[in-house]
Amino acid sequence: MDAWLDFARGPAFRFALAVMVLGLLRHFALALLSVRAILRRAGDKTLPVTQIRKATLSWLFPVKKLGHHTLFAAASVLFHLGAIVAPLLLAAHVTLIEASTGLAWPALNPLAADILTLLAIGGLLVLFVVRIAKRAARDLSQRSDYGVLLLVLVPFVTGFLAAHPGLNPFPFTAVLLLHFLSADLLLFMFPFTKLVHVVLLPATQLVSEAAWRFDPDAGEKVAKALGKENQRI
Amino acid sequence: MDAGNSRVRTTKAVLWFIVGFAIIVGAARFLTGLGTVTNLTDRTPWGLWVGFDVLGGVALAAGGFVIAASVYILRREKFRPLLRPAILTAFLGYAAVAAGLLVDLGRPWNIWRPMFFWQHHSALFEVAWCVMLYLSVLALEFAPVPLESSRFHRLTKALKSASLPLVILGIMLSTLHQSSLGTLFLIAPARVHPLWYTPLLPLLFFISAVALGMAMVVVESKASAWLYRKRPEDHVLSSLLRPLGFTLLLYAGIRIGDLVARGEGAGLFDGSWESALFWLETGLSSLLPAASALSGLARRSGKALFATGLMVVSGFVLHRIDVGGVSGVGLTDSGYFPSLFEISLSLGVVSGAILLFLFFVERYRVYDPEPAPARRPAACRAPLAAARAYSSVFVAGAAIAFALLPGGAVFGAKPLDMPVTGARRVLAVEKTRENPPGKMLVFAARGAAEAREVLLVDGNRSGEYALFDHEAHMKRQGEKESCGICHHLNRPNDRESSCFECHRDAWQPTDIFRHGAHIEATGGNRGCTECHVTPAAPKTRAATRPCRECHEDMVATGKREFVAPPAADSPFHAPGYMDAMHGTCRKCHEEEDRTKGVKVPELALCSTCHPEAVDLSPRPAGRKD
Repeated sequence: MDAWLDFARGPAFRFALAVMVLGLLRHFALALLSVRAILRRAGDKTLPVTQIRKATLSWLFPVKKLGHHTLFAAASVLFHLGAIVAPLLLAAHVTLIEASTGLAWPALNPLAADILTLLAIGGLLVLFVVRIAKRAARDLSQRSDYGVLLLVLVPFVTGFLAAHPGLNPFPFTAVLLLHFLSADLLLFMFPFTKLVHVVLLPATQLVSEAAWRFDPDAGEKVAKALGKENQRI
Repeated sequence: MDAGNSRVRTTKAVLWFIVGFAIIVGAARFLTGLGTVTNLTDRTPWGLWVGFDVLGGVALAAGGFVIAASVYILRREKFRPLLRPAILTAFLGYAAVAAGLLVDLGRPWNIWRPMFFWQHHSALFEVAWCVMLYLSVLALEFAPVPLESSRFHRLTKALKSASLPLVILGIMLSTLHQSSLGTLFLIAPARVHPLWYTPLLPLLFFISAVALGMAMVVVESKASAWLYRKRPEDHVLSSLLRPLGFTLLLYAGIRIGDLVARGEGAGLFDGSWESALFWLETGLSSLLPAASALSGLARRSGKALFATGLMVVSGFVLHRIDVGGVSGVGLTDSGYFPSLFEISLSLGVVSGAILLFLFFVERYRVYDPEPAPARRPAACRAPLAAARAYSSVFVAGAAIAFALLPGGAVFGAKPLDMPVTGARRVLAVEKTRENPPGKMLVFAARGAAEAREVLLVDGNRSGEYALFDHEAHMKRQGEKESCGICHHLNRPNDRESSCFECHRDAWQPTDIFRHGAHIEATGGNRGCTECHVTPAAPKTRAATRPCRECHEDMVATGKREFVAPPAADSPFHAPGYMDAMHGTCRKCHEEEDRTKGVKVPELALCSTCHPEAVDLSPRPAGRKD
């Protein structure tokens, strides 16, 4: 079992981390290149910067959306708060990173970490239920969307159980291994699933704003591609 | 150039994967040092990177000066279409050499020093200058190609008008450099096998470079034609076959004739692996391709032409690797074989050079443009499709490399594991020592009257032993009650545990705490709080209940505790064996010196305790160092 633990927190973790970091950087760079290509093609120098900023911020802090989708927006905010803060500032994680790299930063109070973890788990479950219960959300969802939610759930639940052995009905080492492996899989999946929004959120606003600016002669090109030049479309 | 065909895409994808892998290896090499990713040692300081990247790279770049000399000096205009790709290959070959050198040098940040600190007697000084100068000349020779489509028309014109002096300078420098790499090995006869070592090495390096230059032009031209599905230039390349064949015959004649003349001919057929390697290399590099080139076989078939060039290239690269190290493996008993990371970095440098070659070929007029064939318009491809595809294989290569890197390459180098074993009982006698003055124990001769049993302390069996009179120490310190002075910690259910049971590595601390065993012993999850008394706190060793509170008999009790018991927040890492031994013996003797005036001479001298501190590791007969 120790060999499996070493594998999960050694090579497997490094592989997943590298895929996540480089994969996300790749997505970000490609998004910027796409925007540049779009703008060049459109020949339009102006960008609706204000609209983009507003759209991005409105999703980062969806206060205004609380009126329409209260439960969804609240669960989303609480989940994101817990999911980002708890793993990064958990004392056990900080200690582990310091032991292997020498880098350290202040850690959360254990009680605060527990609360944030539970918020992340609770928020995630609400998001999952809302996605199933609401017809509009269900129609927009693919199978992978449910899968990603469940995948995010596993490391938080196993991490909480590992930190509280008294509440853990399963063998400690097995839970720890599952925690490592599920976290590895989660990191690995970042560039391949909708989790990629962590870097693409601002860029997608930019792309969608920019992409709707067509070439001045876009209509002629479409007609040519369809073989219907000089015809009425 | 049809850069969108499947051959180009597949080739580039493979190359980007290798480059991604190699970049991570290169980063690890620069961040954590050569030792973490290479199998290089003090005995084999020059490995694959020198043999393949540096020596092979220089040789592969010879096409530049060979074709330039043919066109500009010998006025063989039919070779002009080969000139630009040959110069580009040479430039990228030398850039690869510079990259290979930088990763191989122990202190690459000193690379600028030969420019300002001249050491006329150093062979490497000449090599360094040649690489720098010829790389600059090649850059200037090739610069007009990318510049001609830019707005720097005057600069382009000036460079083009300077091409003849540059070509002459290039020929001169590469003649110097190709041969001086051979000269470099003249100063290391003990490292080069007699079948490769000869005073004619500079000449052989130069002649083989000329042949290799021609062969490389053939290989590069045929490979480009295949890759871009364009018409091969077989009619021009075939003109190279006669001079290539005669150059190869000249090389093989000098090589074998020199060995026979110097009386080393018997080694050619002695059945050793070196003789087999010699024939493989010579057959591949010169004998077979010479036969193919001169018999007309290569002229009749495009595939045979490519195979001939490829044989020469691989044969002479093998020659450089052999001279650079492989032939000397038997002489130096190094047992060196390059690590996966050395191989990947070498391939990465080559892949990077090929990608740059393809970049220049696709973007600038390296090859003469062909009449465009009537083709249907290219299929519509998604924007940035190439960037998306190549960047994803790059990320895959980098991530796999990061996962495969050894721990030392990620978290910093650490000493090699060196497990230790217990002390042995041997017979010894006491004798008077002159320097430093005093008495010492030595191994007893067979049947020696005054022989007594002592401990031979040589935990890692390196030969650096100490003879320790355990009985005398016990008597002096107070018999059984004194054991705890040195045997300060008991393993569970043990008494006076031996040193090596906790100090398990010669140099590194050992983690002597077994978490898994404690989980089982305390009854699984419910038992966690027995040690982790504050469940909310991070479960570090410092925040855990001290071991002694449960293991009451763990700390040995005795007349006095010389080695301090583990503190409450002890990480339970037993120091390395050598530190533990030195720490205990020296500290105790210094204390006795201070308190009782019991003198032990010169504890700072190794020979006081290690009378025969010599390397007794196995050494095969015939080694010449």
